[in-house]
Amino acid sequence: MGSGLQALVIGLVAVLGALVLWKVEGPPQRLADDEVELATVLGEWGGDVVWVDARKRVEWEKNGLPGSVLLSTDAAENFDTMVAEALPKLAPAERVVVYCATAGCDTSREVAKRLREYQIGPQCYALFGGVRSLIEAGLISESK
Amino acid sequence: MRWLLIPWFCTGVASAALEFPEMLKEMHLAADQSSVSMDFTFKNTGDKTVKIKHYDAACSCLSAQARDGKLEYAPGEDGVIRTKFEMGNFAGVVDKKVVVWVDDDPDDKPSVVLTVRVHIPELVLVEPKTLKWAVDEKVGPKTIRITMAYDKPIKVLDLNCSSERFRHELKTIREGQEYELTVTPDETRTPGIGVLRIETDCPVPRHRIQQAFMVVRRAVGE
Repeated sequence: MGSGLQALVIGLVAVLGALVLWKVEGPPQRLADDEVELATVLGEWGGDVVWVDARKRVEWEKNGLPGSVLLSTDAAENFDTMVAEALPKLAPAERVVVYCATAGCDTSREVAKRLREYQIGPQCYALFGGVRSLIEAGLISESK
Repeated sequence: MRWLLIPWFCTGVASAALEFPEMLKEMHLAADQSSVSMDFTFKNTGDKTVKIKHYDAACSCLSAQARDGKLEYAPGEDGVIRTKFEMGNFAGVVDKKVVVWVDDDPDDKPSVVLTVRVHIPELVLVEPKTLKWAVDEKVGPKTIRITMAYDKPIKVLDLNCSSERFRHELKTIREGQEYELTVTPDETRTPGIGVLRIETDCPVPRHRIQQAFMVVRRAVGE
């Protein structure tokens, strides 16, 4: 077998492998500019952030991260009022990390965006993987 | 071997899920509109029946329901997921997601994520929303501009600050149209915060009360 043909076969096998992986695992998930991974928060930043829970109030009361503040976009809540109540924690912070519940819900990104619009001061990020990553890390309990 | 795998891969994709012509629906709303419905049509383009396991909207402001509550769709069959968004106190551009799990979707990987995007007019614009001073910055006034974006005049009726540390003064630029709010902290030696409540006579209740924030904070890294 010539070297050109070998390269072609290797290339085809690699592409096929990638396609199979895509089918089994789904498309690759990429970190958006406004997202941060839990490993970065706990490692590089030493956990020195204000946590914001963007889920519904009942979920935050059930198993919100200790010390977190609730900033929900739920229609039953007044976002401005919640920001005002959370201001003593938010204003002095260097970084704020927002988490939400459902995979792909993007509420955390929306809340982070809204907080940036307030221009209060801290850098605002959405937690990649949401509350699931906090549960997997053992930081909060699923059934609390 | 590789020729056997390719058809397997392609078959899997073809029967994977429901096909939605539009994953994002966008609508511009009237200022006084309180809710809006949007329909997402779909078709099972695969070769086997697809079952919707469940769907979820991460906000009580958004409800979603498959037409007639039907959850199983045979090949070639089409359907509709109807969403209803309640405005609440939202303003500006709001994106809300409806997440749909079908067949064997794992919890963290739903097959379908639909986006409802609504443009809700902001009738009372407060800019900036936060005035900031650094600790030890020279004490001086900063200004918030309040602009009305409605076809009728909206007046500022009252101002209320949560902290006596911040003095404020309202200046009318054009009555019912434009105002300037000047805020000055008594001192900047220590960090502090304040919330300024701006009450207007806006006829649409959810826009009537606005808030602005004042912050005296240490520079990052200090």
